[in-house]
Amino acid sequence: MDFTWTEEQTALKRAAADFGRRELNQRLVERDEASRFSRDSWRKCAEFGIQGSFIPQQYGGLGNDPLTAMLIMEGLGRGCRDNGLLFALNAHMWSVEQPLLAAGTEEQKRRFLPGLCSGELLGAHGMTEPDSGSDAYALRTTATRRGEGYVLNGTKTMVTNAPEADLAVVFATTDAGRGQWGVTAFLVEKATPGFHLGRDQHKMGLRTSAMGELVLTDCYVPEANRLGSEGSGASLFASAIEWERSCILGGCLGTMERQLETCIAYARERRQFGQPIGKFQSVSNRIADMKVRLETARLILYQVAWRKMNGQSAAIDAAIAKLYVSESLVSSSLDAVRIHGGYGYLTELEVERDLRDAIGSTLYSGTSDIQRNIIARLSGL
Amino acid sequence: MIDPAVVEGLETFIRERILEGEEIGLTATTPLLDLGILNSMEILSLIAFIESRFRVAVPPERILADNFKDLQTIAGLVTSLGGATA
Repeated sequence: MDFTWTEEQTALKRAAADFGRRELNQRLVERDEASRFSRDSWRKCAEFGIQGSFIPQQYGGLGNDPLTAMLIMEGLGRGCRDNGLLFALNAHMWSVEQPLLAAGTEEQKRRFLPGLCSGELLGAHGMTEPDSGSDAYALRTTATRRGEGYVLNGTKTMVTNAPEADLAVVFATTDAGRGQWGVTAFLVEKATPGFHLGRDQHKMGLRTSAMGELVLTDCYVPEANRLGSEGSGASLFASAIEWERSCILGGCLGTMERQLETCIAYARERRQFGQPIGKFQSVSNRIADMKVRLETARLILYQVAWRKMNGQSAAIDAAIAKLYVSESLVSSSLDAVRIHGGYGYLTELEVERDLRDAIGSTLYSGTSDIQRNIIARLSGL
Repeated sequence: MIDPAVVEGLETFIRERILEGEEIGLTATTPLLDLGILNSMEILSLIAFIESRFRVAVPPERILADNFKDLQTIAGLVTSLGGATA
């Protein structure tokens, strides 16, 4: 296992950090307060090549390998303080583009991937329903065969990007009696009759990403828009979520790196009792803990991405990474607030927002409790 | 040609780790999905076992009901993926 980065990869990470710092942090406090997604930032990211990062060139992407794509996201997380945007990008890349790339027909790839890479199309992934969350395959959304296609009925909730989406990967059951084996994925376009956006859903953090419901009422989807075969939706979902768990956290590493830099600078500059606060062990110990978490998280995550890239199964590794990185992000975000004291609690310093955003990472793509269940089960319990 | 050692390895795993000793008269053709023996968490566990025991990678596109109906079809999947019992 070799995690030595090439000069080109290191340059890409640095360029992504510089780009994020320069282009994506404008009016962030205001946008967070208003829970406003920035389509302008989305387009800038597409121009930079983020959305097409790991997509082959023949479909409009840059053709990087997934490990490099994750490194670019890490760089972006370091420079871009807009965690909501990073979250929206990750949902688009790993839950829409990746399954399309893995299971799409040649026609589907040629039809949708170029727009998803260029920023013209924004993707959403509809799995969760009001009555199925962690029990993901207990779907009530149905897909009933009719002529050369399917009629979809049901409601998806907590769908990242839904209010802005042009294309959604929607999971529905073609045979409710078969549980996970009846789940099938469909590509549903925004203009499809019977496909509606439900209410927007407001959140504690990651407010600059949009979230909402997708409602399907007698929504006819042609067979050409079925993603994969009938009944393959569960394995497609499991594979996508493994990718997501492996790669969505790249941005979190960048955030942890940025937090650490900010806290070290503050601990050197802020003086109390006649000396920099970093000289007090209660502060320096917190910084040491943040550093240990960052480096450990980085190793765990790189290992998962490396295994995925080499075609190895990574179910338990991805669950460990998801659990460890997200919980570390919460701990380090809380440490960052404590190091900054009362100022860390103020919105204007932009320290507290990272903590609100971090909580989401312990919930999306499978909660920490579910990750523990997977780890325990795969360990033989 | 399905290697009997593959069927045996799978049977032992399902008896010990999934059924946890419960006697259901498991045979090579017992319908594992129809009886609800393999749920989504058990499938994860079974795939991890297959990959480690038989040294094969199970690609997502092969994780379909038709390949997990019973011990015989799972063994057929392992064999088609080039799984080794040695």
